[in-house]
Amino acid sequence: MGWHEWPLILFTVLAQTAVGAFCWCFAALTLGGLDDAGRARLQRAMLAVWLLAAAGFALSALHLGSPWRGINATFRFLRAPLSNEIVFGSAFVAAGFAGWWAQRRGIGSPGLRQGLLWLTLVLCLAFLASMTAFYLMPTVPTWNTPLTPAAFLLTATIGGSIVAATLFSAAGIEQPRWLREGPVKLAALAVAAAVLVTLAQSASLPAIHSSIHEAALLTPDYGALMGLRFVLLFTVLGLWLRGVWHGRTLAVGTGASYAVVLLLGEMVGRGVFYNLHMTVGLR
Amino acid sequence: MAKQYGFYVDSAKCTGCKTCQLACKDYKDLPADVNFRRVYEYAGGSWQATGESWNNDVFAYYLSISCNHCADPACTKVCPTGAMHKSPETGLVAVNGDVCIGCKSCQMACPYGAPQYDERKGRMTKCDGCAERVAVGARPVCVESCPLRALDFGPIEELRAKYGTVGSVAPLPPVRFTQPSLVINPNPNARASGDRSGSLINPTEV
Repeated sequence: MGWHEWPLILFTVLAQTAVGAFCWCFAALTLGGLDDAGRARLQRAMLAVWLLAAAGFALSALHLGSPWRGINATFRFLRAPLSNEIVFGSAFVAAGFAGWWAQRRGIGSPGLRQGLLWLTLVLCLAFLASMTAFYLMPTVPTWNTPLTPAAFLLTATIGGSIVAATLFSAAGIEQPRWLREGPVKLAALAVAAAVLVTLAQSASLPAIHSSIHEAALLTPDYGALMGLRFVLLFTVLGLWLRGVWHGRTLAVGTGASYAVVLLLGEMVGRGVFYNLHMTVGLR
Repeated sequence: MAKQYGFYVDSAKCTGCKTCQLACKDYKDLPADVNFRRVYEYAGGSWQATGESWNNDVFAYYLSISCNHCADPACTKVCPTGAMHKSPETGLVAVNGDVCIGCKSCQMACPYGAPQYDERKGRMTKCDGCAERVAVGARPVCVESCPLRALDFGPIEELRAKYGTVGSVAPLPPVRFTQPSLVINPNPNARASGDRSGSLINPTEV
């Protein structure tokens, strides 16, 4: 387990980023006091969120041995976390695309479109919750810890904040101030929390073992890889904070490159996560 | 549930010859990297000085382990398709190859390494307890092949009445995780589940 799970590394990081970015956009659309033109520009720009999530799903299919019958993964909806993840996740993307399409074509009343937006939020949260639930397997002691939901939430916050900030900038949203400065502040908090989660995890690993495996020995490069991850995260965060501090607008290209590097950092962390797979028994 | 079949492994008799593993591989026509039954060798100990003399507490024993057709399987819970299922008649856990998508969730969850991905098929495969043999009153091919008569198969209640209720020794996980349908006659040197004084000494074979 580990790097060979690259489709899952890409999928989970991209999907969680889309979830975080959507939550920011939802907050902007419902609480941001945007004028109609600003709302329309943001909703148009949100296409990026849906493409990101759709790309994640497409990549996740590469993990399957028989992707052409991937639809079977929905068979145990409400009974297996992975089925819930697939159903809620695809419904989230579908609702997002539908909202984007309806807004572009002026289909449906504003009330109906608002309802769709709220539905998308519910699906988005259910998607993240079921994705997390899948990994909380009682037989996998390295995943079955509160650090797993924490890590997923932090990826959603870190990746989602930079994507949202880029979309706000693409939509020309300068006000209110919490939309201009909020993403970088929340991302900074999330990166700080990620440091704590990583320290907590490395402190917890020596206590996890079976007769065959020791969690602390599963990833000999744990320190180096997490170091690389945080160099990437802190470098981008520093540049981003500096720009906001100086009152500079985040150029779309700059935001996109920040996003790429931040997501790469999170993917390094996710690779470590998959590499920490072990069971309570023989494998 | 009408019946729950299970395996018996006599770790005091087993010499680690792997006839069971090969009989299974042959009968099920398995590729090189898939083994429905594996023989784990757990060993440890060292030499200690007692005054002028040296004594050892070196130990080694074998455990022949396949799917344990658990009463509370971890694999079926995580399966998103229902392909990984437990027979209501026999309690045997098997994959429905027409439904499985090869997502490997069962492999991540099973602490015995029973579900294994078959590259050729693009889906998961595992020990099904030789259900077709059991249906006609025969025993699984691994049990029949054992030259030491160290394996047995049957309704788990009968096995427990006959051989006892030990379901785990090192390096197997504690039974509480999945309630395996497994009875072990521990080797005299067996260490308790969770033991860390020994190690798996044939990792590349399993």
